[in-house]
Amino acid sequence: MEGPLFEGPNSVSAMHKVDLSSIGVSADKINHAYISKVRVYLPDSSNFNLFGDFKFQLTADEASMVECAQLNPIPSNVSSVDLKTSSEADLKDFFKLSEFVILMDGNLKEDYFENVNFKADLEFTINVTE
Amino acid sequence: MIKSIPLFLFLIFSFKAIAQPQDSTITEQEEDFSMYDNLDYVDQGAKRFCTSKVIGLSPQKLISIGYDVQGQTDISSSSVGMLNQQTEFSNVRFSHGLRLQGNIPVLSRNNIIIQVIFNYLEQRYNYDQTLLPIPTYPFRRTILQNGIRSTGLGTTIFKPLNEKSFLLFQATGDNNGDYGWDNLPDLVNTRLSVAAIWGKKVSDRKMWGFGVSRTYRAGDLNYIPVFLLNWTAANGKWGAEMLLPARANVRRTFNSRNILLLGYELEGQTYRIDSRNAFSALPGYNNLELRRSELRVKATYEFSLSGFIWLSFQAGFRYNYSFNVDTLPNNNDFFRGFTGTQPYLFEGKLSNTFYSLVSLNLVSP
Amino acid sequence: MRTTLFAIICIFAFQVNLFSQTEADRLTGVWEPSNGKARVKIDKIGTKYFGKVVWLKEPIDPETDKPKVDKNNPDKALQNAPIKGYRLLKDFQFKEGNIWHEGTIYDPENGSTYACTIEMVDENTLEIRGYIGISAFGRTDVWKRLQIPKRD
Repeated sequence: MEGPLFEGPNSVSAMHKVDLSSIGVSADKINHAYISKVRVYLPDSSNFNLFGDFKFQLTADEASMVECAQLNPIPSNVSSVDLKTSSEADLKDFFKLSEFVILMDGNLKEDYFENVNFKADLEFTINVTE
Repeated sequence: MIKSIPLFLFLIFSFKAIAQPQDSTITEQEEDFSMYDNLDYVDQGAKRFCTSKVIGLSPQKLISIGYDVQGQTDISSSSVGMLNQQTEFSNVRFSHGLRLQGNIPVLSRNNIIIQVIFNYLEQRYNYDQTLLPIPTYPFRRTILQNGIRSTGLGTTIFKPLNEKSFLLFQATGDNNGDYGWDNLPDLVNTRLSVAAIWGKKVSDRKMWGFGVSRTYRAGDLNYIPVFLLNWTAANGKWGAEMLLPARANVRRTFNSRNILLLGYELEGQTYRIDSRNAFSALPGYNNLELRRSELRVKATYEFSLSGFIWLSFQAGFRYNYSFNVDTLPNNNDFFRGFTGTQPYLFEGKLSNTFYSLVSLNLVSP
Repeated sequence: MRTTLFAIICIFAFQVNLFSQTEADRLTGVWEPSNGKARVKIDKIGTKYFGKVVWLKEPIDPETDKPKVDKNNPDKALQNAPIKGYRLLKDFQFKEGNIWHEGTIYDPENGSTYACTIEMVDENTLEIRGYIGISAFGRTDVWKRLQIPKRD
């Protein structure tokens, strides 16, 4: 896939298949789940100066969309950023599904004529009742 | 016991653009915000109307359930029917009562809002019954034993004319008296209050209006001009909400869920006394109207308990404005206003006291 | 219960929404509320419809002199998110005829979220009703469709 990319909001999404059995959790025991860390970084160590802000949301056909992390503004000359996460945004409904969509919005400050590739580490904390 | 379990995901993102297709199939486009600056309507735009609120206005209460308590007070008045017209005197430990109010939208669109309003207010007195002589002083006895109530039903209509000007109309019928659930009021005694205002919405933070009203807030029937002002400062922290002369508040907004109001309100109605024929042995005293009015200087703190459920704490000082009694010829109310010279049957006094009011409210979006 | 760490590697793929001319997809497009203060683009994600702010009449907050952010959001962690690009309309599902329901509308001026129903009066007019609890405790606003210019 090729550029150019235009100034303004851009969205990407990824489907995540839920597999609670691999962590020994039963869906009906979850009483709260939230995103505890979102780190976005550029694999080639360039910086995020092109971007104004990031926002993460979870969505699914069987659950309401929840905003769970954001960073505005993105600091200059950094190649990784930690987003501000919300412990109040309850994501437990998503972990009761078979899959959900992670949606990331990023605002480009100006037109850009190449692809942008980066990675994100997400950490969710799931509170279960024993 | 609650356990926290971290779950890690490593994701690879790629922002990419998609070339514009040659055919008519629509694909998602990368968005350039500037493309939305100068757009035309497909057919025509919606006619624009001003809204009924300004930014930062304290939330309107759709349903309010409250309890009002007033402190110790002394009631003094002439005795009705006594040949020597002695002044009777009662000490009330405290008075209290339920307050129910509703503003239910029946039609709420951008070009008109119609609400049904209802209210129920009561004031009951806690006093030392051993000090109440029997069978004299029937007026005082009726008031203290039965309390007074007001039940009202009406409508409010907000009609915006365009983006800047509006009309506001309100009418209520109130039935007020010493009735109880065991002897419901006679609808013939319903009193009508009306207000009509024309106004301008100057900006999102300011609206004002002028009008006239037919009101019993001073106890007697009056026709008075009214002035409306709702204003919020640019920083959103301060504001004013006024419907003069009935009420005025200065507002301090801490955030969208906590506000403090400082101001006053003139509350009043005319109450039909003798629903229980206390004066049946006194011919000529069977159509008594208590002209009751009080000025409340108050501080109100309101905050959101959860979503649209708000709690309100109000405390202040209640000044008595009117506790006078008329007898109505032919059972018809009459207009005295501020300049009329018709004498009261007797003039009562209520000493001033502190009060508090707590209410649980469902507020409007 | 033992705490377990575990990682998943996901490959993201850019989702391309190919709009079919279904009845439900008539909702997509750019719309303007009656007060003219914003423009909202309604898109489809999965089987549901979402609307995000793409234009503001007054994009700068006079208090901060910076682009408006969601300062009234009850969640403090999200109060710095920009209003431009914010999804005000969420989770609408097509019912039948001209109704999209089960959605919510967010008001950044007070940080409140309301249940919401959209009715398409005609191809270029929506009636958006936000309410709390029951539909009677709400308000209807009229939104009009805007023409999106073709990009060169």
